[in-house]
Amino acid sequence: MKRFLILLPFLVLLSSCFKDTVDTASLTNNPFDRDFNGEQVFVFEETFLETVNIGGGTNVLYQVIVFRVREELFLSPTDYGIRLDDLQNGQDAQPVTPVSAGSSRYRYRREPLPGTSICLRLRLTNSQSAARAETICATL
Amino acid sequence: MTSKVRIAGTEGGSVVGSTSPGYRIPVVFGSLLLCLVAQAQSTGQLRFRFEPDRGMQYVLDGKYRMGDRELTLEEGRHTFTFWAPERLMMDTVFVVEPGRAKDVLVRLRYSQEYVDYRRAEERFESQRRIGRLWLPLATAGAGAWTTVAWIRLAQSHSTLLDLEDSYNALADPDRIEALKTTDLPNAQADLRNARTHAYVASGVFALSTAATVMLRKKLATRSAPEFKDQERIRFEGLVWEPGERRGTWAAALSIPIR
Repeated sequence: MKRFLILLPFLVLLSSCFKDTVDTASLTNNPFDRDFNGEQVFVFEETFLETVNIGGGTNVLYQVIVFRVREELFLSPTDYGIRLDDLQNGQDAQPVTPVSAGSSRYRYRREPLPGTSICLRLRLTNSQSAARAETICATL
Repeated sequence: MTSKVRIAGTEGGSVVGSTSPGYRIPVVFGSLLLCLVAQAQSTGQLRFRFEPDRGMQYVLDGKYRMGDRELTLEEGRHTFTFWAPERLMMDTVFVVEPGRAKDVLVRLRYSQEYVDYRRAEERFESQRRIGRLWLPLATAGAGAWTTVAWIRLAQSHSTLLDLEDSYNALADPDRIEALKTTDLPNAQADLRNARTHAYVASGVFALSTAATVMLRKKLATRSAPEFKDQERIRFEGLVWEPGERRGTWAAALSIPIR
């Protein structure tokens, strides 16, 4: 019992070493956090015209905007989705497709507007919730 | 009122009844009968009932120490000093009436020494109970409480660290927001609470342990109170003899020879 009494001050000292505060405001390095304050996650890569045969000998011309998700910023490997809002035509939640399977490069296809800066608002998504919004612009 | 009967022919005696030899024997018996009747008429009986009954003794007329429950005494005033173990001595006077029996209930109060002794003994027993039973029990309880409190502190700390680590693994923006606004603050509050709890429990444990050790040491040097029946000493050694002014105390030594 006396030994335990001697041990008590050490326990108290030990307990004071326990970290009991986590600064939630300092947790800003996760790209899925809406408070993320790191570098841009979405990087514009290129834009070009693409002709698509829609059948019946009809070809349609599209403007393709390719961007990349910087997965190296992720704190751990994870699946994700992308929400794209076209700020130029006001259409939200437009579909994007990966350039190739498993690639971090994505393409968005829209009607071409040569010489016009087309800005896209991009967000990472997961479980139907979206992270910080970023904007990239492309001019054909 | 004692009657004296003299038998004819005895020295210094007187003859009661006829001098004829034929009547001598009846006269002697008659005289004896008279004597007995006279004796019976001049005595009375006291029948005692004692509370407490165990160990009750008394001194009769400052001379005779006895414990009889029934007494046949000559008529008149008789002084009694009653005493029983642990009780206060009581002096009293009874008037014996001839040919009558009186029932007397004698009830003695506890002596102050005994009352004081009982109090001291109760105090001693109470302290001993506290020192040997309740304080060790309280210390054991405080020890268990302290252990649980420290385990809870460690768990709370671990929970906080796990939550902090989970920030790096989460990929759900809503979940991250909930973590930062609810889960982490709650975990921090829990940890602070657990730490306070652990400190208080440890303090109580330390205090109760110290109190147990101190009381044990104190009790080890103390002996149980002893009862010295001063009334017994007074009863056995002293006889109250009223004098002309205030009276005197006289010491007496009695050696029972049986």
